Amino acid sequence: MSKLLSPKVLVPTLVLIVGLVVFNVVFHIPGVALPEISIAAETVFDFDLFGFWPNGITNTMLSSWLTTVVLVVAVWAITRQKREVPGRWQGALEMIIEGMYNLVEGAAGHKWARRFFPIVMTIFLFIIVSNWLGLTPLFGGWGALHHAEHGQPVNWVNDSHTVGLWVPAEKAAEAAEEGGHAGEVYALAPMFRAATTDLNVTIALALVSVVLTQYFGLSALGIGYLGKFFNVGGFVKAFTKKGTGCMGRVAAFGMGIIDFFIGVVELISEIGKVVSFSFRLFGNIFAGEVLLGVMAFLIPYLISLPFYGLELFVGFVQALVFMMLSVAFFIVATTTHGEEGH
Amino acid sequence: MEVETMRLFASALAIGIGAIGPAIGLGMIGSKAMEALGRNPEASDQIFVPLILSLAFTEAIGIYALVVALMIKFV
Repeated sequence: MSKLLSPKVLVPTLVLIVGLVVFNVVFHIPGVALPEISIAAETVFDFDLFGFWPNGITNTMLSSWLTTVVLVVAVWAITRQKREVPGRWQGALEMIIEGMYNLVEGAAGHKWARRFFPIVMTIFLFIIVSNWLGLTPLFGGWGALHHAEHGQPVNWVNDSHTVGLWVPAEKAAEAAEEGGHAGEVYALAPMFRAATTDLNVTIALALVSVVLTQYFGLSALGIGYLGKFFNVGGFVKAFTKKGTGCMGRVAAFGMGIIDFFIGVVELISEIGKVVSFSFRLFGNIFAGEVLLGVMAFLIPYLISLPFYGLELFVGFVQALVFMMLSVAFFIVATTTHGEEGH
Repeated sequence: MEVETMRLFASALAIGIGAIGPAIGLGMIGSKAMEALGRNPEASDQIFVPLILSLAFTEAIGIYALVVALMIKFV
């Protein structure tokens, strides 16, 4: 922290800020346009596979592919020449993997950590890389402009109107005075948009996690795992237990009914897990993008910097939360009812 | 009221009222975690993961409100 506040950092920052303010007063830097906020991902390439794929290729699809490519290439490049004494990059990667493995092992124990770790680490890396890539300048700022009812005017850079700067509405009047096309407004469909700001991606990740929970539960407890959901053990006990009178049987039957409904609640909570997993991740990252966009619109260039730091943190925490919640649910699924209470 | 006005009101109320509960919950979790840390600073490693998990669960409620507000506003 002290490094950040040293004069070496502070002085250039102050100079930059004062310079920007003076530059703005003298030259009028164009403000930042309020981004077109759409919850659904925008289509960037029309690609209709015989009517089976009506949405075409969306920007979140592009960026999820990019995320995958970045991860694969980075890991391939780092582990291409593995050394006994790791270099800088290999050391960093080993540190991340080892730290995360220790976290999972601390929660799940040695036996299960070996099985949980690959899948939850993959989810973690995918989410965090996608969140953080979404903060790079490659994302969100550029893309295809299309006519829209509520949009912003465009200052065209070249004469054939293929490259343009999307400018805030108040600049429209100035543009009109200079002979621009003030009447036409456009909306921006960004070429890339963080993959986790698409509900489809987060639901897919949540489904992977919840289906794997059932898989691990089944593989650990066998078919008895399903007894958690279809809990008829109480009824069976009520009729077969010896040495209880009539009233005892009725009471046991009542408990059996309660057990059965607890099973139904468990079943519903599995669906609830998908909803809460997907909406938590989507809501956090999407709201972060909206926050950055709106802040940049309100006070351009400077005020979004602290929020940028916040979004870096949120991106990490959400990836960690998704991973640790998956691990926690896996653990609950792989332990029997008796152990759960302790 | 017009529909557009209603939508503005509804989205503002959705996030405004919806944020109260999670805010109280997050404050309580934070204060209890700090208390626990103060009593037993060595336990910080064990406190960290449950803390993050409970924060996430609580925060999720606020995020639901946010998603509802965004949907009222933009969908």
